[in-house]
Amino acid sequence: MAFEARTPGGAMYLYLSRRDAKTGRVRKVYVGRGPKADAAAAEMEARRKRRADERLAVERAVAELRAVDALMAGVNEAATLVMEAALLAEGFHRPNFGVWRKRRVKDDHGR
Amino acid sequence: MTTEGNEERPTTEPADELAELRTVVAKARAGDASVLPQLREILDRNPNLVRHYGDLGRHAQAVWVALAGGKNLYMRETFARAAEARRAELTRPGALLVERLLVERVVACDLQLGYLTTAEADALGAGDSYRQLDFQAKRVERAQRMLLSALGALVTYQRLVPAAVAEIAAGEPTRADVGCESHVQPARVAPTQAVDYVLEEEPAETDRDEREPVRVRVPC
Repeated sequence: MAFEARTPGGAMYLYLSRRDAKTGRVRKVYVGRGPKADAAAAEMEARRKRRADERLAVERAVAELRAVDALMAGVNEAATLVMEAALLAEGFHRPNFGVWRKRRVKDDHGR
Repeated sequence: MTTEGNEERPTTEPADELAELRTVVAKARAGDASVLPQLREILDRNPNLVRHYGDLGRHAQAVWVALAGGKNLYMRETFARAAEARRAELTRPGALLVERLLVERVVACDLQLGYLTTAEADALGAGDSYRQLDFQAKRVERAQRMLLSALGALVTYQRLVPAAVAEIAAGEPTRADVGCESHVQPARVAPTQAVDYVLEEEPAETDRDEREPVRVRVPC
């Protein structure tokens, strides 16, 4: 979005820059001039600021929880691994990521 | 650190121990039964590994309690007591360190879910933007999945490894009521002594068929 002067020192016209999805080229779209263009530009600027604030709020929330998230991920991974290790050591196995079962042990007759 | 005249075994970081465990578990998972003795040896050799991550779980719980309670000390105390009650409810008598670690994870996940659900409700009430609400909803969903997974792991472990049997196998009464934060190792006792002790207190725990089903309350 920009005000552009088509003639040096002349009136300012508001244009939007839009990328054409088919051709991939940027195209200028004429919006207007004068008070209407000023109002449209102010509204677009306010919308842009609002979206930036929202993005910032989410980023702040993510940053606030980053440390505890890392802690939880560590505990989660360790607990899963230790549980698996303990069950495997106890003689259980988990075929095809299904339920845990006691591993069959062949007797003296090979059964 | 090794000093002259006091030869200690070089201590390894829990992360290194976990990496070693990860390698061996991957082999065992692939069906290599020859690594099982090595797996048992790693578990026997590193009780501090499990204890370390249990402590980390407690630390995570403290962070969630602080986040949820904020400056309100009364709320903090309430959340801490609720976590304590949940821990006591989920831990069986005679629980080993592995089970205690799984319980700590469940309690931490529970606190996480409580905090995030409240944050989502606050965001809805405050009329936050779609982007923020979407973020909160995704966080809550992830926390729910994490809690269910943690509960599933705990229930599976408790179903397959009865507490009394586990205690006899370990030969050392690392009971749940010893407390996770106290790192004082209980005196090693003979397995027969441990059997008598457990049988007197928890006769039902020795027989898997007669045991009561494990009760787990999933928060709404």
